[in-house]
Amino acid sequence: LNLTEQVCDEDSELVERARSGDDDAVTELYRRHERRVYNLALRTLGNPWDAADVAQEAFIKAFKNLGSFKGEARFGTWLHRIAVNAAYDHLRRHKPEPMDAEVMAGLSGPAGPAAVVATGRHGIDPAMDGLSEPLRAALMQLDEGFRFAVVLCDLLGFPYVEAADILGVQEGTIKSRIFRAREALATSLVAAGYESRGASAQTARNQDDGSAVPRTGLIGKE
Amino acid sequence: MVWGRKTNGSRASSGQGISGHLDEWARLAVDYVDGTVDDSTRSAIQAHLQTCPDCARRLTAQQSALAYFAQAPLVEAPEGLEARVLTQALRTAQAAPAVRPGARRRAARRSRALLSPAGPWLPALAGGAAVLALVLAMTISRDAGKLDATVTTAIDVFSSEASATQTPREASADLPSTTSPALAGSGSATLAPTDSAGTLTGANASLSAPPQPTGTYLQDRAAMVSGLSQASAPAYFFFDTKDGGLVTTEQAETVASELTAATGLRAMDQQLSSGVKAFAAFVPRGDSAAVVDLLRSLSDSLQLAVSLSLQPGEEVTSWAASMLQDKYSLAELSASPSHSPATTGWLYTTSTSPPTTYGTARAPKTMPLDEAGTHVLVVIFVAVRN
Repeated sequence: LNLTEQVCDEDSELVERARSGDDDAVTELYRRHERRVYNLALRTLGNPWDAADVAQEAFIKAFKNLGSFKGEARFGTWLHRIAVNAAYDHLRRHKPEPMDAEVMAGLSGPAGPAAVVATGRHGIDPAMDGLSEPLRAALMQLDEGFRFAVVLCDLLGFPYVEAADILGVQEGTIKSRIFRAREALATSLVAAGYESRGASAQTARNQDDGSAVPRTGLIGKE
Repeated sequence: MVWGRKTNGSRASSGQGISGHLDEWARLAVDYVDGTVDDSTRSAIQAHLQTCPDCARRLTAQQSALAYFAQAPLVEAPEGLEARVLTQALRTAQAAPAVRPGARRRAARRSRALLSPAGPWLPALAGGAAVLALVLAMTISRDAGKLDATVTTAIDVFSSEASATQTPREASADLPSTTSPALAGSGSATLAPTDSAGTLTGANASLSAPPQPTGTYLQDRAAMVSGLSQASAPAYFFFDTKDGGLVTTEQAETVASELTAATGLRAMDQQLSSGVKAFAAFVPRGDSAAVVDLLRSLSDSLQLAVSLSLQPGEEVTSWAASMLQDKYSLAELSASPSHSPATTGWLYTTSTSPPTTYGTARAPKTMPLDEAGTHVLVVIFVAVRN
């Protein structure tokens, strides 16, 4: 049994139901993709406020345009393409003004606004970001093209071919970007004093723990 | 394995020789790090790496970085996102209100709530030079809890076009009839009872004047940070309900206690309408974002909204001016990065004495901090409904 196909089939079925006005299907589609879309936005935009805005925008746009989803791509691919475009648009629209950038730089170092997280009680979680400072700083310093590629592939676990589809570039281009992005991340980590452990990357990478699609419980370990 | 590309992603690279250094076979190197090259390619790469320490070091570093990156957990989407998405996605007929209802009304209600008893008012921190220096280090584990701090409002500055469609008379009709007497009794010499509509835009406009766009209440994070850091006059934060109404007394208490808990800043010992909470402090301009984020986090965790106004209207500013005469006794609220390696965050510090050093500029003791240009005087209001 190919789980990938099964998941996509279930997406397709949900899309069909959603189109025919089944609100539960819309809810289910949302829940299956919420965390990945949100993390895509979070890691490419760098702060949770913008990420929530963009994720919201992307989902609403997708659900309102379900009729134009022809099924030529997977729903997940199509949805993430919308999210990527929304994130790019957001970056275009909200180019920080010089003063803003200055303030941010003075405030939070190379990580920019991403590093600014409130501290407090009652669920105000300073570790909201879940990514260590040097890594996040390195990520936000990447050129956008590299950042989107490495987030899609190395963080969210999209296959290169699917990331290429989402970003509208060739698979080879994705790999080139991934190489440069990893190199930049590595350089930043070494500069931040992290030892290069020579660990086996392929064993540390674990995208099949079901965390990618929360709540559904449909995607488990093989 | 569904999403992982190790099994269903790109085909294993194979049959390609390795020549030159890493940059010349970068795409193969990606596959090598991923572990998707075939045996012969892997052997060729490893043979090169044994003779080329530089390439070996770089690839090892990439492997480490990838391992580190891939360990990062996916963050939970903020609570409330689902509701907002589904509310809009599933809504069929009922259109979203273009403007927050009550956005204009609340300025007037707020003024009323602040102004009614207008009694003598003393900062709680009038103790002078005593240093509170309350440093709160909230240690919350990386993975603990979820991200209530994520502020999710998508509302920018209130639409000026939309608000322009509301005439002052219509707006004033929304006001309780007690508004005018309350304002008249506020002691503000510039206000006549019939001017109540002017309080809606904070411009003291007369009824015949066009309403001033209510673009002065900022909710967009970037706008708030930018506005605060560049403020040339006191900056005012307001806590309201998400639909623009006044909060309950209990909510105000919670805001105040949370703010005190997070920063050490005490609510002013004011004699205003019962339940109203107010804070004032000098914030270093460089800490604008940290303070904005704190207040946004706080409001979001309490399901409230916070907005920033640099021009809250004459009633509020004149009220503040009379209350903030003794600037020397006000505290400084500053933020410094948390040093916990596992987290990123801020420690907020409240001190009643000017900092001995702030950057390279030292504020003269004879000058309030905001007038030295290094700080912004921030006033935080939580007006309550009665």
